[in-house]
Amino acid sequence: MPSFGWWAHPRDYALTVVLSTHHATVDPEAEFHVTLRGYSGGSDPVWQHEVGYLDHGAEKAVLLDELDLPEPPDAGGVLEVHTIRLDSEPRNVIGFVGMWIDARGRDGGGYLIPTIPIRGASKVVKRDDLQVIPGIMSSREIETELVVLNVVENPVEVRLVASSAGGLVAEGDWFTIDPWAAWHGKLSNELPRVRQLLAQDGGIGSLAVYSSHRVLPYFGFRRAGQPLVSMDHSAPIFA
Amino acid sequence: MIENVKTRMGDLAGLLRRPRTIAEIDDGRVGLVCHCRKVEYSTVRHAIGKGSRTVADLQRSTTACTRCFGCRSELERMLRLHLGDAFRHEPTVTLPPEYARIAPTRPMYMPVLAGFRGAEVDTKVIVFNWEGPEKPVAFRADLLRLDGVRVHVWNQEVSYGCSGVLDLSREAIGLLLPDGVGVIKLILEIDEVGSLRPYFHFVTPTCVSSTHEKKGPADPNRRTDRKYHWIFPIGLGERQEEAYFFCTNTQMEPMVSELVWQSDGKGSASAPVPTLEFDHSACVPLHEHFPAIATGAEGGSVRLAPATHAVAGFIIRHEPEGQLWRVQHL
Repeated sequence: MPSFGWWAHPRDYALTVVLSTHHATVDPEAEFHVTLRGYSGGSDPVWQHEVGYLDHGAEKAVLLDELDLPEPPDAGGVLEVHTIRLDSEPRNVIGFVGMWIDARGRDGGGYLIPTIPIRGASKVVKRDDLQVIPGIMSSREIETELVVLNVVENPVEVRLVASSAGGLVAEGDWFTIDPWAAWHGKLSNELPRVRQLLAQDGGIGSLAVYSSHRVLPYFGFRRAGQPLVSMDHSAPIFA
Repeated sequence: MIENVKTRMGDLAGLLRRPRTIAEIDDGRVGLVCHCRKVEYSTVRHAIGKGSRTVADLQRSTTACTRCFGCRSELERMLRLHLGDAFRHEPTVTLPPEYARIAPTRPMYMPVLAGFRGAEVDTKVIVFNWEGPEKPVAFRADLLRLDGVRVHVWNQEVSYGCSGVLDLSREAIGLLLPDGVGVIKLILEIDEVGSLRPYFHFVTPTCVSSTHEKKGPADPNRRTDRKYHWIFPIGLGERQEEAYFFCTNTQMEPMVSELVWQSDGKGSASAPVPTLEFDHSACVPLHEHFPAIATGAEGGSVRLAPATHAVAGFIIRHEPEGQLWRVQHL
């Protein structure tokens, strides 16, 4: 199973894809083949880089700046890390070999995030159309940045619903994300009343992300114009 | 803990040479010592007075310390106070056979920074009840030092549609974490996690960084070899960064391990991790052991070896120039 992450615009971040065979297995006979791909609005990748074969024990750090890649749209694109294990058949339960993206901000900060699949994780979730982000913030000083990846063939409809710590709610309109594309925005742009909403409870609350099919949402914060320092994934609704 | 005894009773060395009476181990603490089983301090004192000599004895006689094991350090403190030098610490947590069939709770662990290394960094925990039952959901949060000693307990609840926020700033917790670093262990009093997975923030004057908790294993008593290593990935960059590997042992057996740095094609090196008992944590400054990773000049990974224990692991990075603290779960 391929795994995915945000292909952030190289104007903002220097992305290293860290491929760790130790993160995949302890089997000394293991062999892998890794290909990286970038998507920006269609199911055909706009670039592909074959990292090649990795024996167990190899660790590989691929800096995208060193590859001759086209630029993604302003919002970034979808980065696929496709790792195939060659020495054994897939197990009954669909597995994936997740790797990591270490994104260093051009002005400092950045984010570090494991690549994740759209399917194949072992944890049981109750529904595919809702994920949550506990702890959003929005004020004159702090802004929540959101990224939502759509990694299937069809457009996806997404709606954001913010809830203050005390339970007051602001609902946004549905918006569309194209197939194989990234959406990147500020919370207060999508929900103009969110600052007033959260101000009543110390500027903090939580977010529900509704979608017509499974998406991969991420979030981070920017404080006083300083660099963003993390970009974690949202939480599914666990059974 | 020992400081209290010294202040209260004077000659600590003398006291440690003989068993204490019940009156002497009554250090004035009241209320619950085991919040899972609702066991009071007085019940434990009584059991010690009746002959309980070990945590296992207390588990059987009082039911304390048979669910999340969060009161283990406190029970040991009371036993040590009573038995003095005769007290024997047991590094592995055990459970009486009669409790073995009861599904243990799965605590959720998060690192807490509150003035760590003199930095202006604080922590908040957020729990969001969006899809839970339409009644308040209770959760308990234990603040632990790195050595597993519980220093505070919060009992809170979060109503339907609301977010519970736990302030673990320097202002809120005072001197509970003298080194400015610890762990929050959160126990949800509900079977389904639903939307209630906690996230936490590291907050500084220049940034807010966030990620989610890491849960303990379904059975902390059963050690099964993992199929892969926990790793700390190291990308390439141009700025100096500190890097900390933070982990809590969530299994009942002590964890003996090391950290192995392996760069992309340029060899490897290793650094020790302190032996960690259940609920004990380490915050290892990788940049001090492996200077190459601080410069951003070499990519690769640091792995926890051997791949045997289930840990709650986190990556913490610090860019001193901008006071930027970054955190990510493993």
